[in-house]
Amino acid sequence: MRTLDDIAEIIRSKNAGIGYFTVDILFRDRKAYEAARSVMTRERVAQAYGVDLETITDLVHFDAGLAIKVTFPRSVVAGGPGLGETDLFGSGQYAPLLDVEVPP
Amino acid sequence: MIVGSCGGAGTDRGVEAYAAIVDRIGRARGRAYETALIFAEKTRDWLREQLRAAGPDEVRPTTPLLDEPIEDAIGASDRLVAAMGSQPILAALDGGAQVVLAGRACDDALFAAAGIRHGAQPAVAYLAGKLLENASLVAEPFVLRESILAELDGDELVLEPMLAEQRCTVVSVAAELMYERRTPLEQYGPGGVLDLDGVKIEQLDERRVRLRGAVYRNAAPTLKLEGAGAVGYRSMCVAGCRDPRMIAALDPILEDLRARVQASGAEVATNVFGRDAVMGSLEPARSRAHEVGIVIETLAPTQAEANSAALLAKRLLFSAKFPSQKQTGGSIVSMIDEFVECGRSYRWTVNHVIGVVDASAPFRTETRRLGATR
Repeated sequence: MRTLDDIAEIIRSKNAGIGYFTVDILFRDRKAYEAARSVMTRERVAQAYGVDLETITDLVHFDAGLAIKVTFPRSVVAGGPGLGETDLFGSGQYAPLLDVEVPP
Repeated sequence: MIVGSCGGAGTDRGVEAYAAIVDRIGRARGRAYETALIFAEKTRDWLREQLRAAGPDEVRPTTPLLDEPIEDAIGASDRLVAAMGSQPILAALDGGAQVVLAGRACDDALFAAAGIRHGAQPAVAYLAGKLLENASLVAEPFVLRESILAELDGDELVLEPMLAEQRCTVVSVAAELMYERRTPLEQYGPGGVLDLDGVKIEQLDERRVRLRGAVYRNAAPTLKLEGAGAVGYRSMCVAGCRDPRMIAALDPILEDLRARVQASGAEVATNVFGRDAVMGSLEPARSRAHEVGIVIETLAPTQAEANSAALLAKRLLFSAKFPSQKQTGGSIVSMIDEFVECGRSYRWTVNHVIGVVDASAPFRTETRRLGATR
């Protein structure tokens, strides 16, 4: 079956403020967006990351932009409380969503 | 010309540094520029006074990760800024400034002020600011540091990239509306909120996108405050490992290493590239790499102590013991027998939103004639 990585135009992550990672998934055409929108629930995202449902703080379906946005907290504040930072700008946190299957 | 947040952090030093640049350019060209400098840096006592006036319910951290009491956070802050909205910039433009050098400012306010000054509807002006704040990132293909032209006309906004090889598309514009925030649908500022729930994005022609449907509402005045404080000095060392048994035994090895470095008086963090250095505890992958890179960071009150701790960590890795070990000449590889000094290290101390009476009052504006006519 095709995956998000097959049909999305953009899949990326970044910090949202200093306390959150946010993942953006954007599509070139409405059909692909609507198919992805139907499977991209908070439950599916939590499953992809292996976290509790509550950890996924925001899931936005941005119809006007054919885009899906997922947000969850960082484990440490950006830059760390001292040590502890693994991804300063949050740009490496989206890979678990690449393999989400999207039915036709 | 409006520049902000000068220096990135938007402290007074940043504003003065940009003033020196404008002055130097003016003198070189034989031109003088009426310049407004808008300062955003605040003292710890100023913030304490704001808290007294506002009350504890009016101060909210932007993340639960900042969980120390606000009084402790202020005490730990070396520098503090408040982020200005469009009002102080508008006032500077109304005062006749040709150049505005702003300290910490909301990115969209820099552009919104210009739009509003020339009669644009606030909703369209703030939407323009939001989409222009990262310049050519609003267009595709991905190119940095190129210009974008925004046309504000009634309730419409049209964006056009100036670099011929770029074009604005629904995807590129929607992506910028999403960028670095939890939702594309609303954005709060010091005096109001931009509501994009009804926004429409359309491809106007091959290179331009038109947006309509943005709404701007006034809101109770607030200020975003930012502060940083030093936490010590950092050092780093890097090693590689190509021994399958050591890779399998890495967790207890690193646990022991961390305990011993901590006992020597430094903080320590270990990062294993090829396993979970990028995603940390979120990493779902479980495959075993044939090779890993180990980066160890140390943090201590002085650079010398951080360096000693990094050296200790390297030695401990080199002499690590693990079951069925056959490599007895040193289990890790090094490119150089050195550590990396990283200098003074800081943390976020303040990242809070505070209710205020007047969101413009904290920003002091000074006018200067920079450069010189010949």
